[in-house]
Parts: sequence; C-alpha cells; structure tokens
Amino acid sequence: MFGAIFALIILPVLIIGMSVVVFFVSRETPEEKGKQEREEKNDADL
Amino acid sequence: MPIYEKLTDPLAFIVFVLTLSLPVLIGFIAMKRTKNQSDFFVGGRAMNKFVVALSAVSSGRSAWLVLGVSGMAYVRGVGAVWAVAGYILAELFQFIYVGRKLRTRTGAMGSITLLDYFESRYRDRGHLIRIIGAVIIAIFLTAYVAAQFNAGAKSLNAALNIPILPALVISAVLIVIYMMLGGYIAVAYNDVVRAVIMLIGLVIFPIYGLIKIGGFNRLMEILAGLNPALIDPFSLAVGVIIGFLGIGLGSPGQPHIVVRYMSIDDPEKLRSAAVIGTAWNVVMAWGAVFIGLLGRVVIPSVDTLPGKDPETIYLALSSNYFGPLLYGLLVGGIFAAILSTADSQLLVVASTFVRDIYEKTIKKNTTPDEVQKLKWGRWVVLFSGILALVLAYFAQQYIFWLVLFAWGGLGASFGPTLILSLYWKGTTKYGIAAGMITGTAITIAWKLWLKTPTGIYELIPAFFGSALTVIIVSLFTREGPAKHAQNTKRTKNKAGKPA
Repeated sequence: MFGAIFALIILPVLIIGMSVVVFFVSRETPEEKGKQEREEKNDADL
Repeated sequence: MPIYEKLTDPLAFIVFVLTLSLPVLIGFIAMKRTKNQSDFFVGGRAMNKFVVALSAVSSGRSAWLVLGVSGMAYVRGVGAVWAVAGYILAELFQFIYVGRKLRTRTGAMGSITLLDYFESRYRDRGHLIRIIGAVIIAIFLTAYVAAQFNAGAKSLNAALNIPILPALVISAVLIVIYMMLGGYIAVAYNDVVRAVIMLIGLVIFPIYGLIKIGGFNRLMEILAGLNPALIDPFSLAVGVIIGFLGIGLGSPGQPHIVVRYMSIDDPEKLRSAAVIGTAWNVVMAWGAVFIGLLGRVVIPSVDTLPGKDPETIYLALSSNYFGPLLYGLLVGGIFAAILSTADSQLLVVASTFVRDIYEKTIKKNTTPDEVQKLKWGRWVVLFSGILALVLAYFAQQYIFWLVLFAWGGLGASFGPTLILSLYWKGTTKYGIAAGMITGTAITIAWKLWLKTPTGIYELIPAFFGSALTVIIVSLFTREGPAKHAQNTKRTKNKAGKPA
C-alpha cells in the first residue's frame, strides 16, 4: 500500500516541488548574464 | 452497450462536432496575427509563457496519454507511473536548460527552424547538417503525421460510423485549414483550448470516478483483490522501469516540442513556463494513470473492452460514467488530442520542406520577400498534409513500421546533438552530422536485432551512442586556431545576411 501511495500521491507532489526548486536555482547570476550577452553578440555575427 | 452508441444522441453529436470545428475558428483569429514566415513557423517569437507551457505539453503527447498511458495503467497497474515520471522530469530540465539557451541563440541568429540553428552555429555553408537533418525529419515526422491521421480517422469511424477514407480526408482537412490560416499561432492557441478540454478528460473524470468508487483506499483495496501486483509500483522488472524512464531521453530531440521554446517572447520566462508545464504534465499524466486504474476496477476483464484493446479504456469508462453532453466532449477531446500532436508535427514537416530544403538549399541564391515566403509556407502546409494523407491511406504498413522508430530515431538524432551544441564549444559540424546519422542507425538496428535479447529500450543506447559519436568525431575534426580565425573573419564579412 505504501508503494501505491508513494507512486500516486507523493511522487507527483515531489516532481512539482522539484520544478519550483529548479525555478529558483536556475536564475542567472550577473556573471552568467554577461557571458550570455557576449554569446548573443557572437551569435548575431554568425 | 457499444461505447460510441451515445453519440447517436443529438446533444452528444452537436457537442462532438463543435469540439471538432472550434480549431478552424481559432485559425481565422490567428490569421490576423500571421504576417510573415517567422509568425507562421515560430509565432513571431512572441508567445507568452502560458501558451508555450501548455502548447509544449499538449503537443508532446496528449494522444499517447489519453489512449496509451491509461491502457498501460489498466494492464500494469500503478507501475505505469514510471512511463510518465521519466519524460516529465526530462521536460522540466529541458524547458530551462535546453529551451532558454536555444531561444536566446536562435533569436540572436534569426533562426526559424532547428536546422537553421545548426547551420548558423557551425557556419555550415555546404548545408551538410541541414540536408541530413531534413531527411531524418521528413521521413520520421511525415510518417508520424500519417499515423496520427489514421488514429483520427479511426476515432471518427468509430464515433460516427464514417468509412475510413472520408474520415481520413476530414481529419486532414480539419488540420490543414486552420494551419494554412494561422500557422504556428493557430496551432499553439488550439493547444491551449485542447488543454482545457483535457482538463475535463484527465482531471474531472478521474476525480468523479474516485468519488463514485468510494475513495482512494477503496480503489487500492479492490485492485489488490484483483491482483496485488497492480498496486505495487516496483512489481515491474528493473529493465522495464529503466526503459520507461528512458522515454524521457527522447524529448529534447523532438523538433515539434523544441520549436515551442523558440517561440516564447522572453527566454527568461521559460523558467516560469517550466513550472506551469510540469504541473500540467503531472496533472494530465496522473489523471491518465487513475483512469486506467479506475477502468480496471469497473471493467476488470479486457475481453469486454472493444476489440479487447486496453487502450479503449478511456472511452469505455467515459461511456459508462457520463451522459451525452460530457461524453460528446470527452470523445471530441480524444480527437482533439490526436490533432494537437499531428498539427505540431505537420508544421515542422512544412518548415523543413519550405525553409530547410526549398528556400535554403534549392533557392539559396534568391531573396524572396516576406509575403512570398508566407505564401510558400501556406502552400507547403497543404502539400505536406496531402502527402501525409496519401501515405496514411496507401502505405499503412510502411507508416506503421516507420513510426516504431520515430520517437527513438528523432530523440537520438537531435537530442544529444542539440544539447552538446549548446553546451560544448568543441563540437564541429562533422561531429553533429555523424551524431545524427548514428542516432538514427543505432535506433533502427537495436530495435530490429538487439531489443528482444537485451530487453533494453532502443533510445537509451542510441542516445548515448550518438553523444559519444559527436564527441569523438568533433575531437578528430576540430579546426586549428588559424583556420578558426579565417572562418570567423569570412563570416563577419558576410554579416547582415541572415541564416
């Protein structure tokens, strides 16, 4: 029964929770943003 | 009672037909926003995060969820969650770590298709990657669209007793009309409308069923009484669980899903889209699993299902539970789910023919204006639709054979190559081209000769084989610093000429 509760109730909640965590940790730092802008400029030249 | 008998009820029939014709109305609305080729193929890179999130999820696999996953849960029980958990996690990371980078780079490069991006990224003036990629997309995705037309025609045939050929024509015409009118914008908005229909089909439906049966514990008790393995998610063999989880490896390589990320107005918003998309993915997937489990309790013997096919459990159960209004909507919802996958794939096929093959390879020395390019796009949607229709009717066996390889073939050809191209500067065009070919070749060879003896899903070795090939070939074909500087200079001299 615990297996079913884990698979049908806990697992989906964990996945949604993980998406919220990923949302926060994936914010770009100023350094990454600068790097990104340099890459963009480089790409625009291609 | 036959499962479709209720559609003879006028109310159910009217609701069903309205559900089918709604996309055409949306096509007319979207037409006003479609002014150029970028609007037609990537929504002018101006779609908001809700549309992108729901559209990426709906177009990805709504038909598979409604029919396939509910059927899988009916047969295998709770263990079916592994089939959905793998791809949902893959797509969560894909939204942010593939989508955001891809959107930023394609926006800067002016790329409209995935192959545009590859060609610009590697300054591939000989169109090596574009030609190889276009062949893979044209073969696998055209077969995919044809298979979706067949599935749509079978639904119409069963619902309204229309013979297969007219049902096929109706399926194709319904899609092609709104796609010719509004292109990507019509497809994306239709995906959102379908997501709402799916809300009824995959959320309200299982909740209603759970209440009717006496709650979650009661459902588990009855299932355990039928077979204890049905409520044990670990009752499946390890190889099966790994194979199920491996389905997710195919997601980053599906051009019709990846193009969704390229259409968002701001790459940063893909972070919020990831949360919205994941929540929606979870709700739809677990809804489908619950429908299968409820179905097993209400209709325990597969022999009593139409055609003894577990994939009809959604229809059989909705017929059992609901009156004509909801039943008409739910049956229309299945058809909508099939179309939402077919239209996204057809648009990628059209963009491959018009942009990658015709405009960039055959007519590369001409500079058509935007009106001309938009016209090409519309005609090619019609041509691609007719091609898929003809294949669906005359080459069913061939289509069935190709579709067996489509998800894995596309996933292994484009997934590793795309990820490595975004994250490793050392990749070369030869590495990418070799990776695409290897991904397709391993998928086919493994499925034909090694899947049965090893029990391993073909996408797993094909994905890693393709990645390894990209790395090895890239290392052997890297440019020296002098050649790199020369190429960069040559490219900068050509600045202003888009990909």
